Amino acid sequence: MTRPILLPVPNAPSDAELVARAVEGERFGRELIYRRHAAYLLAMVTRLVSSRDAAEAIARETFVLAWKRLGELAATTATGEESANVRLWLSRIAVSLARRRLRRARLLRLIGFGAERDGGDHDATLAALAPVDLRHEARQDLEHVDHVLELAGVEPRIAWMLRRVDGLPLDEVASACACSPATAQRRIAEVDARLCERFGTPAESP
Amino acid sequence: MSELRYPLKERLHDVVTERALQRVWRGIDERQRARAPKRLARGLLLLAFAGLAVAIGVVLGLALRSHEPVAPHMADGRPFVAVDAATRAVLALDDGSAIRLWPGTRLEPLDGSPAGTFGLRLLRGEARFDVRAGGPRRWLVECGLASVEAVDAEFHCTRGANRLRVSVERGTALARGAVVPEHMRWLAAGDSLELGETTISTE
Repeated sequence: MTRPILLPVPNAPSDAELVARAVEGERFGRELIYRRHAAYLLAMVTRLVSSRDAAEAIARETFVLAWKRLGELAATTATGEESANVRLWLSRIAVSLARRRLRRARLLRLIGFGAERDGGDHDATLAALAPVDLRHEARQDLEHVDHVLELAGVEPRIAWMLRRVDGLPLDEVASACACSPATAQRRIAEVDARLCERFGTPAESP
Repeated sequence: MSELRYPLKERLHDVVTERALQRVWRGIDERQRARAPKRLARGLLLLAFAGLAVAIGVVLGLALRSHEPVAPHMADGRPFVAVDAATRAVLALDDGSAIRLWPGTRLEPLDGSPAGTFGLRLLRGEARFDVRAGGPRRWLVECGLASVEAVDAEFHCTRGANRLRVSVERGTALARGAVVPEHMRWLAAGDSLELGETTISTE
C-alpha cells in the first residue's frame, strides 16, 4: 500500500498565502491546499462513514464546496491561525457532508433499502481497517465497537470517532461538529457509556 | 475486561493511498470543468431573459403608444387643420365637440402638444369651444396671454391685440398664464376672465 508523502519544503507558502492565491483563481494554490489537507480529510471521513467510495465522494464534494466558498476561507486564514484553521474549516464541511450521508443511510436502512452493515458499502469499518495479524480478541473488540457505533445516533457516532478514533482535542471535535464543547462531550460520553460494559470507563475523560 | 487504547487510528491501517488522492483530485477537476459550461449556459439564459424583457418592454411601449388617445377629427373624418374664418362657421368634430368661429378668426392646431392633449392656438378673433365629455383628450387652447384647459366645458375666448377675454358657459375650465392671477385660475360656469398687458379683471 503506497502512502503520499509530503516532503518538507523550505519556505513553503503558508495556508493564508495559498488561500489568497487560490481566491485569485490560481490553480497551484488550490492544488497545494488539497495536497496539504486532503489525506487527513480523506482518512478521517473514511473512518467516519466506514466506506472508501463514500469517503472519496465526500472528500471531492468538500473541496468543490471549499473552492466555491474561498472568500470565507480567506477570512478564516486572515485571522492568523493558519493551517489549523484551514484544516478545521475543511473538516467542518466534510463532517457536515458525512453527517448527511450517515443520516440518509440510516433512514434507508430503516425503510429496508439500505445496504447491510457487512455489505460492500462498509469496507472501512474499524475491524476492516485492523492489521491482518491483529489478535482475534482485539479484532472482536473492534467489531463490537463498530456494532455499538452502528446503533448509536449519528451525532454521538461522529463526535466519538473524532475524539476516540482520530484523537482530536475536544474543542476541535466541537468545532468540526459545529456544536459546543459541552455538547460534544455529552455525545462522546453517550457512546462511552455503551462501551463501558465491555471495556470499562476510558482512562481519560472526554 | 478488554481495554481499548485511544486514539484507535494508531492501531489501524492507513486508509489513504496516493491513487485515491489522485482519483479525488481528478473528480474535483471534472466537477469544476463541468461547472464552467453550466455557468456559460446560465449566462446565456440570463441574456435571453434580458432580451425577452427588452422585447416585451418595446412591444408594451408600442402597444401603449398605439392606445394613446387620438386627436379628434372633423365629423366628416378629415383631420383638423388651420382655419381662417371669413364668416361665422361651426366646426363639428367626431367626438361630438364643436367649435364656433366668428369672422376674422384664425385657429390652428398646436404642434407638439403634450401627450393626451388636443392643442389649438387661437391667433386672433373669437371662438366658442364646446368640449364634450368622453372625448379622447383634454383640450388646450393657447390664446396668447393665457391658455385654457378643459375636458368637459363650454367656454368662449376673444383675443384682440394685447387683450384676452375668457368666459365659461358650462363646466369648468382652467386658465393659466403669466398675467393670470396666481398664474392659474379655475373658472366655473358663469365666470369670466379679462386679461390685458397691464389690467386684469375677473367677474
